[in-house]
Amino acid sequence: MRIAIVTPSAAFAESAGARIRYRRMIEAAAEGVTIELVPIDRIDRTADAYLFSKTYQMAAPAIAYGLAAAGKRVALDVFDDYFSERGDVRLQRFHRWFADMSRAVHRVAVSTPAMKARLDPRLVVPATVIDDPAPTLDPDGLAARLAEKAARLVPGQLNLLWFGIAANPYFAAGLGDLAAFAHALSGEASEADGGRHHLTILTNPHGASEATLAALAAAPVDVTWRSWSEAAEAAALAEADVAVLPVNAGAFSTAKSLNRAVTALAAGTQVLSLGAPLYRPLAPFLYRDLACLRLDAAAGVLRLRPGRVPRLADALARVASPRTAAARLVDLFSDIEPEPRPPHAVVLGDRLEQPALLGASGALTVSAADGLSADIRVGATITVADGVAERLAGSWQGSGAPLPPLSGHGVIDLVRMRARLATLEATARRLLPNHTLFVAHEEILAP
Amino acid sequence: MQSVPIRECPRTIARPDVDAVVGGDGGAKGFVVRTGPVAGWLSLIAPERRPEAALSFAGRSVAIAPAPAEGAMASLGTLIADMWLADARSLRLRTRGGVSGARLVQADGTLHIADAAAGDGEAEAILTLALASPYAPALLLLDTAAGGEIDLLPFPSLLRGGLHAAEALATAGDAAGLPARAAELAARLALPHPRRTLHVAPARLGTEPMADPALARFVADHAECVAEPAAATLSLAADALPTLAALAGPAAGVLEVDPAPGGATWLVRRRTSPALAATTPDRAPPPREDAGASAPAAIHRRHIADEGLDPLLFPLAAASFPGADATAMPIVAILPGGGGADGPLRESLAPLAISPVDLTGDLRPLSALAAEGRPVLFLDRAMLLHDPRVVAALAAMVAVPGIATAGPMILREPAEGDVTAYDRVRSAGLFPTHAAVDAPWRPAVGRVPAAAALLARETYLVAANAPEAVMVAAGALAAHGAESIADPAALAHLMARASAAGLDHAATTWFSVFDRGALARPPLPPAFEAPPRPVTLVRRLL
Amino acid sequence: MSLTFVVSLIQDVAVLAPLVRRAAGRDVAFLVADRLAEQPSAAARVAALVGEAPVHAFDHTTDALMALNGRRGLVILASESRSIHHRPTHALAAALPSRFVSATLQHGYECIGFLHNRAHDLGRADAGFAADIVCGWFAAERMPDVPAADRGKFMTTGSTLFLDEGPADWLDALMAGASAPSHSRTGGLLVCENLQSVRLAGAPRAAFLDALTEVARHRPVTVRPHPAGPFAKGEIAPPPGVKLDGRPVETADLGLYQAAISAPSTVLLDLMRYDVPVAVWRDADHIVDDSLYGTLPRVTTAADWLAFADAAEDAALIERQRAFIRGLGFPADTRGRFDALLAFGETG
Repeated sequence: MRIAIVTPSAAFAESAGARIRYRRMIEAAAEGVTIELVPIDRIDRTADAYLFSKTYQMAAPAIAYGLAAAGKRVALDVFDDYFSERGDVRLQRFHRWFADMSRAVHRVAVSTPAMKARLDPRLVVPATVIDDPAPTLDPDGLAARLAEKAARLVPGQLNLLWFGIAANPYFAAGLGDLAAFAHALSGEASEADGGRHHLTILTNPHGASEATLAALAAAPVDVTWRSWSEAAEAAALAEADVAVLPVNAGAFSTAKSLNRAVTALAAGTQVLSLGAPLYRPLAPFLYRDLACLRLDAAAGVLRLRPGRVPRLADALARVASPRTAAARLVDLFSDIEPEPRPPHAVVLGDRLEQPALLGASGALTVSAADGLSADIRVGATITVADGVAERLAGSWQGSGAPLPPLSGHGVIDLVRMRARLATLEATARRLLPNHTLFVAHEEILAP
Repeated sequence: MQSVPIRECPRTIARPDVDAVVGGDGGAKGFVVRTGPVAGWLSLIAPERRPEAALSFAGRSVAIAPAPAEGAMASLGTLIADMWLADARSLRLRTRGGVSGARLVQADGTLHIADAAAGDGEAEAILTLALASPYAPALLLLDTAAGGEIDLLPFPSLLRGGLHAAEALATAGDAAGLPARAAELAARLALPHPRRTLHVAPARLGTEPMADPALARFVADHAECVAEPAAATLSLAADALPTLAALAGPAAGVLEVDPAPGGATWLVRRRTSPALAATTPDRAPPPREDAGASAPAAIHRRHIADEGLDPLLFPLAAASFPGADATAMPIVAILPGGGGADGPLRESLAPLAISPVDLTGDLRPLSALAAEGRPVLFLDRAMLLHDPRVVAALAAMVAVPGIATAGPMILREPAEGDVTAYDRVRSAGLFPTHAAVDAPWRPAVGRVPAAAALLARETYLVAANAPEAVMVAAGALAAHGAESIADPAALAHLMARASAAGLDHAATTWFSVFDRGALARPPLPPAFEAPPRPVTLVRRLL
Repeated sequence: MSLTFVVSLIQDVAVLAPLVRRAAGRDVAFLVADRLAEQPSAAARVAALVGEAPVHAFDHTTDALMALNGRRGLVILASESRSIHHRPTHALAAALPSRFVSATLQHGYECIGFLHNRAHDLGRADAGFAADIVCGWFAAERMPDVPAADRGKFMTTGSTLFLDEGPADWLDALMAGASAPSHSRTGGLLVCENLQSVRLAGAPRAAFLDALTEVARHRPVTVRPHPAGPFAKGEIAPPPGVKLDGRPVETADLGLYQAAISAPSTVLLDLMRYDVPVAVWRDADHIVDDSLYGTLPRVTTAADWLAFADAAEDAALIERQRAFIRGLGFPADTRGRFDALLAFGETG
């Protein structure tokens, strides 16, 4: 089977998501299965199956539908929950996108059971959980590193590490969580010198807001700042005694996978899990507070220790196995039996990024006469591109509907675009009653 | 039980009378020890975790009994130039010179002692002392040539860098007033004391300040935390923390602190009513507070981030809200005056199937519009209703008995100098205004644009509404709409008279309208003074 | 003991230079804002300030925090406040971890958060500091504009204008009541311009230029152009009879002038330090706020300027301006005060 993972851009291949989730799946794929990353603007029809990943372009649902209609097996992979938070209008476009994608694809895959629980009520076929794969474990090397680290660990002066993306534009996450949970990082006041631990923060340096940096200045730890890179992360994990993983209880954070804890444990670093119990499946290896960790360190029985490496390997095989992930992906697609589908059409809003992507979708496009170029142009009169007329229902000439023109003023146009899209959608339904209809637009029109 | 020596006090008082009796070398035999700070310190520790303290000399031991503090932070301004929390576990002192060392003692079940030394002790110095908790009371022992001082720091969190620093700013003003204020609070919070019932809304993220176990434990020592808001005398939002004043006595209002560098601190006293609260999309009940209290009750630390214009255009993301249909359909009237076309306004009303009435040239009194018993939404012709739900929302608000007018958030065109999207809010109701930080209170009524960020997604009582976009209840219109429609001050006079007659004005930041017109609208006529009715107050402190 | 100096605006260089000299021999490093480091005109002066010490450029606060990894001690900021012009240093001071103690210096006579003129008062919300210590020129009672929330931080250090040995001795002698030393003055009239300042916007700016042009027809005038002003940028050609001298304060030979005229500005103190007779220029409508300059002579019209220049070599005039300085409230021992500040770099 040839599987194409459709990505939003070529640069996506360098992202943490691609590196952790897909590269490892690709390496563990069985004989006869090839998996490759394909940017959405370079899709062709040569694969058997397509997995859409983070392609938030509004043209993506139509492209996915087109592939399914052409007899391909199509699925959506979801590992960020932009779809549960209902109170923020900036996320409206993600809600619309998800509703359209779930109509277009055959199946949905998710990275966690929590994500599945949230999305299943909105899906015809329940979602399939495909865990983020763990890195390959070298049991002997890991045991040696754990022994060496335990020997040099000083309970009163731990080397803590926080690594990750500094902030998310929509949700509290990142360094803000670290600042909020910093109270859990203080040393024992009874130690000499106040017993301060040392914290390394490894992140994208310009992503931290001034407010968060000011909040972190109050943290009761000594901080060293480092710029994130894959190599720096590996080096930092090799150095650190404890990886600090603070998680707030919001919807976005609690849908995330185990991969940060897995990364830390596989690198031989103890894990301090603060806040929401996201990493509960790995509970035997986690600490919920530093006092316990110090006691265990002093007694020589750290939860992640050389004698426990086999248990860790078992746990990772259960919750983060690359081979299982690759197999589940294949099974996901094997279960699909593509059925014939009605043709589809896409109504184009006035603000649509990358409209050229729709060329690959096989959809008929409908737009305003004074809007983006499309197969069917609606205005006082309706004009239709060559070869399209026979797909329209009944008599359509002369059934145009004048649309209010755009003025260039943002809020006036907001009102007008709402009216334009409503008219375009109604017209499209009238002209193409046997087509599946998508509406692709970027703007927020009405809640 | 183990006893830990905290301080050795030198004998510095000459006692010739004693020398006369016992003989001896004539060295100083007398001593003076101020045990008041120790007694005060003990009184602030929960009895079940309180250590015992005693003064021992010559084999005898005199217990120091806990007693409400009589003074506090006496060293601030004298031996110590400045005190602050350098971080959540570090107290920092800047001495005036003459302090050679310092010791800090806290007790919370276990005893914590931290020391710091200052070089030669002559020069000014910076001393840093480790804290076991930023909330627990601390005994501060300073070493000086004259023998040393014992001082009580009852609430380290009141210091700069602490979570209660905003309270110090609001109630004590500056460092000079802090010792007196701290002493007052320490006396009232001596344990045991009558405890109020406190309700903190359930945490949503786990990153709220009250999720810090040390803070939660401190609050629990001084207040009874209950699970039901109805059982509480004070209710707080999930991400707020109570002030020390709230633990000690009557308190009302929230200190809204933006912790970002350069961020402002505001004092917000919300006023609403249960009936008005029931008209909001989230139906959040009004907070419980002590009416008429002068000290603020809660501190809310929130950085108001710039989320762009979209959340201001549509604060309510959900499609609908309850109660939208149950109210009488209002009349929409376009105010006379103002240049420009009303075409865009009419376009935006089209989805509601409302044809507005143009009042240009109408000389009748405002009250004539109340003939049909329907509320009237007055709009300047430059307005745009990008969120058509605002009409039903305002109608629901004026349907509440006692409400005369209701106003939305008004957004304006971009202007030079705008830094964040919040600068595009021109008004969210009108408030009694201060001219500026530090300026004296004025009874004028004006716009406070920052209110939209502080009162985001809320409905509240205000002094008046901006007349360019306001819904007026039919009853208020009939009773107080004496001026002619053509008079530009007619609505302002209506609102003033309604207030004087005991009616209220309400504003909401759940819905907004867009003003395509002038960036600056004229203020209300000078005759409009702040009404005697309780309204939401917004005052900048920093 | 270690010290880190933060240089963010070109004006910071002159303020910090004497303190950097005073700190010679200690463990010193510099943080320089990118936008300053990238200005070619500033590069030479910053390089002279920094000497051989380690320098790190920073744009975002995190860049500075990374440069500070492994350092501790005292951080000195030459300009910092809640004003948008001081945003980078304000954010940096707020983000400094507790192994540092930070101090902000007063960087001019009229200075936001220290001593306000009318324009500062209008922007009152900008007053306020993130640093731990706030170092003012005068005694606390003479600094009413330090915001309430920051008064606990205040410490009187005096000004770095009077920190080097020469100026420090001069100030100590003045405070002790001594008369002006004699100077040989070979220069003529100096006029300092800050035409780009918002204080001179509108009619006052034109009035100043007109007076300058008129005076230059009668006697030679040297103009000290403000680095951000129209003469330095080449927007206005100097009027006939006017010579420009834009050398930095350290090398400008201010002491040679026989008389000097300036709109309200700290440069008046730079000149008075050499006992150069000064007059404060203000416009005829008093739009320019000169209320902080007490008994110093005022000039407005070209005739005033010429009259002042002719009469300037007058011992009484010089004694009056020395009395003005005496009355400001400088501390008795500027060198000792700054040494006490630098000693905070040994924070434990």
